[in-house]
Amino acid sequence: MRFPTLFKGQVLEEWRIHSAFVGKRSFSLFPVGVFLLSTALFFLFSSFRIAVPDRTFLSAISFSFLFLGLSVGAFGMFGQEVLNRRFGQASLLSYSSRILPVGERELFLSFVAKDVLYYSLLWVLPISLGGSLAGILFQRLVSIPPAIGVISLVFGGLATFLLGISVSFAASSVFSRSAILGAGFLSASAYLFHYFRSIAFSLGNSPEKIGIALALTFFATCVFRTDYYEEGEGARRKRSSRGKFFIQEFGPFKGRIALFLGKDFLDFSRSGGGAGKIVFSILLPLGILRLALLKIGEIIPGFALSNGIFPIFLGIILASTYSWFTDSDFSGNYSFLPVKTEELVYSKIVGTVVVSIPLAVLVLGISSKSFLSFLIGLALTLAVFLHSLGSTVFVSGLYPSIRLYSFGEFWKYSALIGIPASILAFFEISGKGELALFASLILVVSGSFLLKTALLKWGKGDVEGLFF
Amino acid sequence: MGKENLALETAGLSKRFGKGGAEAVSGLTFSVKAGEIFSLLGPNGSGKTTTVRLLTGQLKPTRGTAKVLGVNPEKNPIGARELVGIMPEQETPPSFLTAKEYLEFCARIRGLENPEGVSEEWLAFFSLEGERDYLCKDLSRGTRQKLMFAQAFMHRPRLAFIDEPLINLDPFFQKKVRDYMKEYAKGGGTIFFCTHVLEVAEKICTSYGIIKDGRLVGKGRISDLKRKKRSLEDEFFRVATNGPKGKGRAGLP
Repeated sequence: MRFPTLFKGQVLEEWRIHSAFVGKRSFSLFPVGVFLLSTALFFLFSSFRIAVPDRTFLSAISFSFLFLGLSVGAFGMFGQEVLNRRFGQASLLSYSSRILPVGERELFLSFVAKDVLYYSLLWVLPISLGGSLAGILFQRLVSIPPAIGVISLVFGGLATFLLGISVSFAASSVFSRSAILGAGFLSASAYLFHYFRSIAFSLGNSPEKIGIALALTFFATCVFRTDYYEEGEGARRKRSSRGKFFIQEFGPFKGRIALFLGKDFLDFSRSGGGAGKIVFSILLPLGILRLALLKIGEIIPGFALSNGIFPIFLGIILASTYSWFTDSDFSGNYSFLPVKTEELVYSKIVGTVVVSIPLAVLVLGISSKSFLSFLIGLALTLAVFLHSLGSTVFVSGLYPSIRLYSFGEFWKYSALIGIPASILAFFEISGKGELALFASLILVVSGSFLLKTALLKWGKGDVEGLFF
Repeated sequence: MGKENLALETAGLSKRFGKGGAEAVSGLTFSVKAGEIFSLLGPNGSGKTTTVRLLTGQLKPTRGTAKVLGVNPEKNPIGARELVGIMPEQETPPSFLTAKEYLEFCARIRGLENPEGVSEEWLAFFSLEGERDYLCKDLSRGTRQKLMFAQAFMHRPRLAFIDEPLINLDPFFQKKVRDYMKEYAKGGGTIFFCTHVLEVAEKICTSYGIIKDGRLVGKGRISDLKRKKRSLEDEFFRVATNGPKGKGRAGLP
């Protein structure tokens, strides 16, 4: 049985990658941090419990797990992280398909299983349990016995997460064969999600829905397994000289910053992850968020969500694109060249801004009802974006995807972003939009300060601790 | 020999990873003259790579100092890396640049005047014209190694640190690289060469150091060994394994 050996090896490898970087204790405590934060957030949400029906509330939770699954799957499949693993840069185990009698398909399945285990332990279970605790303590799940509520939330959460991740992997697998088939598969999945939205796990009938979700997960996994495309020699192809443009200059940027930006964008476009990342980690979450906010707006009269809340989330989500640039690069590429860490961090910040501002304009342009609301939304989005980006870079430097799995740094990050975002949201919800706009000016200042401090902070550790 | 002729010198250079851990490199004191090909030899895990990383400012020493072409790599790591060329053993070119783009990228980072010309020159040197537009991830290991060698020498540094440059190359290119290194040293360049292939070290190096458990346990000149009619391999086994050649080969696994 090779699968258990591979699975065990990959689980250990993942544990060591993270614990070596952030410390065993800090990594082990990470789910505790998520659990505590989730309990606190569910407690805050419970203030809406009169206005938002239980069914809607739990649907929203189910959807967030579906999302998490989709995003993890999308990042896992499209991201450079996986490509690194596939080509043996970051993981010796991924290389074993070339040197041991192990197929890439089998290796990849164990990789997916490992990801499912980790994300379940790090995110899904702590969030579900946090929600359950808040539900029991604050009588959120008052209409059913607490034990059933907990089981419903935990298993429902796991099932939706599994569905999301398996659909992502299956979709990417079909895409690698044919874009048309892939588009068809995604359309079918979108319909499926729509269907799930209407029958999302609710208190009374969870076991059936969980059963359906698991059956669909099994189906999607089978699609992925049978259709998985193993890259062979045929994949090697010449590239046009368009890279030349990127290497010499990048838009208005010239010199070394243009070099790094150009390389980042080439990585982004050639790793095959560009479209997937934009769809799965930006457009899809934003679309569903927008729908959810509108839905809540319908339930709570006078809840002016369309203007204020959405741009806050948009700013936070756009700032997370910073990890696209950091994940697709590898600091070993520079350790032997005369390159300052500060330059690298700066180029990733600029790259994030270059990607995010047009996306903000596009998304708000589509979703705003008037030019004024577009302008207000844009101002809020950019302020939150700048502050969130500053916080991310300040806390995690070049390794957000690894460092944020530290208990302490996760809390720093959550507090730095969560507190100002909550204050802004509070102003928006209480109809004090002008105060929110004023507060956003403060965020511009704090964001700029954090970015400047982050460059100094990470620039100091030019060598040790940054290159590994 | 005056200090002005030294390409690098160290005094008590040491590195300890983590608190309470053993020293990976301990009290290294040696120097390499300009124009030499110096070979750092040692068993696996003896501290060769850590030494190179300390000398090129990729790690900070726990104690001791180093000077590389007159620059302290601890205090000025970027300055040191600007002056020298480095070919690490493990790193490979970034996956999603083509061979040509990668060489141009490095040439531009180093501020060379004609990056395109330099990159073409090196592609031609390694007969890589047919590979220039393929992504580095799709290139063979040997080809990627050639690119790493090219980036280390493209700015004609006065000192180059190279780690196992021949291991994936075919005999033709092994000879070509060896010849290049000899010519480079004749022109006044210095090479700090890490290898396990003692025959190659003996053929092209002028001096050597042997490191074991992080300590320098032997050093000397190849010409002195030849005078004593001893091979580098004999010397290596004498000081690095404390025993005659072949000790420990008790049987197959």
